[in-house]
Amino acid sequence: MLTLGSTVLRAALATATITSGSGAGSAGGRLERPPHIGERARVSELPVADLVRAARRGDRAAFAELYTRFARAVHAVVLARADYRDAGDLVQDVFVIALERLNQLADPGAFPGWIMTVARTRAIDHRRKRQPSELVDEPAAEPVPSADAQRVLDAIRALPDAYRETLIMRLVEGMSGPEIAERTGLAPGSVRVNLHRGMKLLRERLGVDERAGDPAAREVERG
Amino acid sequence: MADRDDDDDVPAGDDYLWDRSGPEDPEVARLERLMAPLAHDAPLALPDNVVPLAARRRWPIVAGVAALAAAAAIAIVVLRPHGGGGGGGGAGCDRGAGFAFSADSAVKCDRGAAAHGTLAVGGWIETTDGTARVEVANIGAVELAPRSRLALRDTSASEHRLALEHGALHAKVSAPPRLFVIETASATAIDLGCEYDLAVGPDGTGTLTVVTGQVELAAPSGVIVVVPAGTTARFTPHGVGLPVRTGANQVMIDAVTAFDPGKPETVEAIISAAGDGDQITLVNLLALAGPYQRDALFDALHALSPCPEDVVKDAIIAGDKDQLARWRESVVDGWMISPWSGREPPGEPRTLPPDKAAAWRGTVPVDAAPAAGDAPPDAPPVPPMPEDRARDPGGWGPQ
Repeated sequence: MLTLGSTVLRAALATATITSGSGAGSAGGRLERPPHIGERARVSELPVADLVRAARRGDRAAFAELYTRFARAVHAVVLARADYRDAGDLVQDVFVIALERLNQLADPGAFPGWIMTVARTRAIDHRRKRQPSELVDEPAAEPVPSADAQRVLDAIRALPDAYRETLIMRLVEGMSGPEIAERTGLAPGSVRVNLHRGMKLLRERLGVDERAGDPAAREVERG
Repeated sequence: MADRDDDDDVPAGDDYLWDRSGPEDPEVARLERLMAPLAHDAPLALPDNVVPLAARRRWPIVAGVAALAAAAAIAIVVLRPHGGGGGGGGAGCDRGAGFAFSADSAVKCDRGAAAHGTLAVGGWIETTDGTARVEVANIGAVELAPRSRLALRDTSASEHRLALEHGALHAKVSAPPRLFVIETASATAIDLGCEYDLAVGPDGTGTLTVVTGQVELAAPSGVIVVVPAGTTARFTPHGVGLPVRTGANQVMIDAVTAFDPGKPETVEAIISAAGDGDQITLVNLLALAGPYQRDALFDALHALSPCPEDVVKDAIIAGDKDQLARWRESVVDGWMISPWSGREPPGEPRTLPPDKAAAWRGTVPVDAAPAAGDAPPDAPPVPPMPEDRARDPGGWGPQ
């Protein structure tokens, strides 16, 4: 499996990005014909299960549509566990893994929950293998978050797992609650509860009073 | 992400957080603006040579499953009387909706025998000398060992619940947490996204060994232990046992086997036996032990896996459930990354001033030692892991 680990490699491969639309392509899967607007619209309207089936048959545009729909959710799952500078590459890794293993997914309709699991596993595996020195030696591939943003991200990462990913999807990726439910396979009610409880905990951790909007004394002081 | 059904603590007026309808929540809006630059916006960069691999052949029957069943010294034989009466020979095992199964030889089901069919809600299948594979609602599959019986209790969008009545199985699931549940007579395994081996005898004694991910093992009393990859937990009709890491020494195994929350000396024995790599055992013990043992337990666990900054020692000793869960989650997360983490010297744990500590002890209900109980002294020992799992139980072994 090719792991996209550097800016240079990603830039080189970006030129190989599929640019067109449907069905059979060349032996290498590279399609030459630009899509018609009608075809593009059709892909964006297909249900997830149909996109998965099409991608299995070699339809790169269908897989690109899956990427469009699920990349932000995958990024949130990865960002909940990995350094921000690695998150972009990890998202690409997840989709490479997903495409390679697409035939293992028995129910195409289960793609949302499945790719979330792939993302978690990849992020945990990356974190397990990464050596501390790599964080210092590699040049920053992504803009460094502001100090405030990093503080908020660290606070979210300290939350229970059930809330962490949901809040990142909402606050970082800009996904709405219904969209989070659709992309993760969770029930909307569950997502709503996770958002509410997670936001409540986050406010406490950030030292903001929920009602007044002013910094509030913590209930438990540091010893 | 955990899937929850209750939403009774979601107040009205939370609409902006939910879908940006209603009046803007200033704090949420501020965080949105602050965090938006971190959002993902890169295009897909897919190499030409990446294509879907051909569908693999069915999972090879895990040799360890049969070995686990054999090594467990559990009597995995004898047809249990079934309420509906044994089916007559020759009838099929296909009643429509349910989970498809296939076997390398005919299996018994509640309506007869067949090598393939459907495991329907309320139905069961039982292997004889061969194995069977059950497709679980397209989220994974269960490989059933020889001489094992599996029933389907319920299936829905929010939960798929099976029951291993006796025997052994290997489960591999890719799904949101708590969607996939397997009951036994003594304990329930709640999948959190993982692969595991489960075995149970007709007397309700069994083991759960997790290969990847983690599983919650719940007793009917409500006691729950978290069993992550690379650990094994026993269970009996008396309750669920503590998970023990692969490769734990016999002293530790014996101490865990003898654990009785009503006997402080059994907790002390576990603390004495624990060393680097035993933090999973200790963090689960923390929730089950009485308050008088938690002080020593806290120190022992803190030395192996420092408590998070937002965990307060006094609250742990008092048995605060949220704080216990928070530390357990931290230990399990660390274990999943590296079972041998936590080598840095721990800092001083957070403690409260005496007056606030007293307030904690006064207001937080002290956990009565639950009747988690482990097996009576003459219970069978923890069965050894199958050789292939013992060598590398999912790659989480010592570095």
